[in-house]
Amino acid sequence: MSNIPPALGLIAGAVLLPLLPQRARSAAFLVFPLLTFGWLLRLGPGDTLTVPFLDYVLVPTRVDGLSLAFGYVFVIITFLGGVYGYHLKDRWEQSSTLLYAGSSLGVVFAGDLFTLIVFWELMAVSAVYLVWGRRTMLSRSAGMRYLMVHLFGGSLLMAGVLIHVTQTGSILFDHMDAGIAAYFILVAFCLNAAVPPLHAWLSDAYPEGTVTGSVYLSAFTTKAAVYTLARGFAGWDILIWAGVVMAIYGVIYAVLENDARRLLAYHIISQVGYMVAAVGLGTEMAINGATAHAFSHILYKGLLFMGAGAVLHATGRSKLTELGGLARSMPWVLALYMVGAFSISGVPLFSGFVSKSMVVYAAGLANMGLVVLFLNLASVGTFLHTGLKLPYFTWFGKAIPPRSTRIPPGMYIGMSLTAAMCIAIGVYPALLYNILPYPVDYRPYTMGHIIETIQLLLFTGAGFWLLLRMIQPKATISLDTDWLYRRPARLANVVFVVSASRLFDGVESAALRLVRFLAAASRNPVGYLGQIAGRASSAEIGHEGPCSREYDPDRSRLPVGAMIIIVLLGFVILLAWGMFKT
Amino acid sequence: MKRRSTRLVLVLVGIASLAAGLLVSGGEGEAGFWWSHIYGFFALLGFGGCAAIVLIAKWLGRWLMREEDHYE
Repeated sequence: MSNIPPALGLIAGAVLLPLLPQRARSAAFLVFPLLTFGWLLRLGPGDTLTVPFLDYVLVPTRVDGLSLAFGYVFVIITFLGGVYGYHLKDRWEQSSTLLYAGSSLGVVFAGDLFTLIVFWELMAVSAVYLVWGRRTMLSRSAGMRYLMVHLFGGSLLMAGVLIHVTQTGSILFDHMDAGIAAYFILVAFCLNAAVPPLHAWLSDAYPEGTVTGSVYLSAFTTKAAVYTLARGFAGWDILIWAGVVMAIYGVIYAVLENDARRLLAYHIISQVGYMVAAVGLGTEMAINGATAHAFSHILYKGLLFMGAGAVLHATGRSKLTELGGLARSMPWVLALYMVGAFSISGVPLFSGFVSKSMVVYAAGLANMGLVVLFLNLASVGTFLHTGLKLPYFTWFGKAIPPRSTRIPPGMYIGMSLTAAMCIAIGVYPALLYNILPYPVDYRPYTMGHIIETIQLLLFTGAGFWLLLRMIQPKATISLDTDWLYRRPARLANVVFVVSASRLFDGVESAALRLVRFLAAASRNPVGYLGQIAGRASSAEIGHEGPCSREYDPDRSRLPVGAMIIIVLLGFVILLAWGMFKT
Repeated sequence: MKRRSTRLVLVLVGIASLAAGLLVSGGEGEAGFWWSHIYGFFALLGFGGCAAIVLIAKWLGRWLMREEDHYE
């Protein structure tokens, strides 16, 4: 009984929350992650729950060091985001958030593939509302694209799982051996992890989410995918290079990006690249690094989106070309944002310094020099955009007077708590290291590491300063792999939607014309026949409205003589028929 | 970056970090890669990498950038 999936703690919240009165909702929202966290503390490695189902045995709860680490941070960010979003009045957004968080927790603790699929799909569906909740035209279409991409990914996962189960007979979710089933599942996991070219949904949808929703979006889907990759595909070499490509890809696109939140979204891709590369390395140090980085990433990325969200909330804008000079009006948001920026850049005393470098160190131990070099290069790019470009063009630079709304205190408190955690981990890394799946044999605070990092960051700053004019944002968008389904979408729209509806309209109007004709003919067939015979003008037949002439009762009647002939004819026919009968 | 004093401090820290590089044996962990023996390598990586990223991205931008309502 005590091994009930922790996901239910949050999902119960999702069900109960809409029933509560509005005043209680935001506070009630916070209760569920607290309860779930307490629940998690009671679980330990090795706890499982098995449930027989048809021919199989499901394992909805499977606890070990890896899943616990992810579980803790998912619940923590749910709580922190709930504080940040305390001002929310939209009950469906709050409920969807709990559902989203709960299903991510379900994925992380799933011991069998069936449970995994159920929670995976639930994640996709609940996350969509966090995009749609913004209620703009752009968010509506972005959310739709998100849904379609993720349902596609879900079907890939389903295909892979079905093949796997038929081939091996086992429904358990563990390390996969190479084979067609594993490839399907790998692609599905990589889609959720936003590995290029399957990444475009992330940079497309995350910036269109609500102010509070994007905080959660940045936390769950990609990190749950990192967990599933670590569980099923640790040590698969292809992931090393996929991760490196991701790390650089995100950073390159961020140079061109104008929307602050899309810039942050591209950096998610870059940072998840570290985690994917570490999963590919597969050593204990590397998996530790991936987990540690996932943990600190959820916190500092959440903080960054909280900061950008606060700017969006206050000014209604997120494009760097439309922002500037906010340092005077929003100093605290800037300060808290910079904590996140320093964390993501790996500044000493912040969380990134102790987590990101573990991944790089693991790559170094495995003697992969190129990987180390590229990951450091990605660090350069990350600091450049998140730590320099975004804050400079949002809070400094040319001031553009914004429409200003007060920022609710909950936002400040949420950001402060998150920032405090980022700093705490940076200053005292054992806090994080103690919950990692494997014992940690890494010391981040060595003289060499600190000096290298300071050199790296300071000279990146110098580069930024000198190239400032080139980094100036422009009001453009960049084409990404989503072009492949967005461009054809217009053509597909013409072929399937516009032409089809024109066809239906044409058929419908032709049918109506036929009906009108039949109605006119059958309402007054004699008159209609008369019209054909040309005795009356067609304007009078079926014409119910007022006439300009005086009423003439014989207008639509046959002449009397014709009537007599018809009657006599009928009589003759009857007579003849009677005579022939006998 | 506007105030003189901030800029001065940063420049001094930059020089100090380069000087401090002398203290360090170089190399991440046990593996001494080919670059650990280049003095001030990470400073170079920071500056050069920044320039490389910006320049490459700007070059790619010629094909990738479109007006904001491109898809509508």
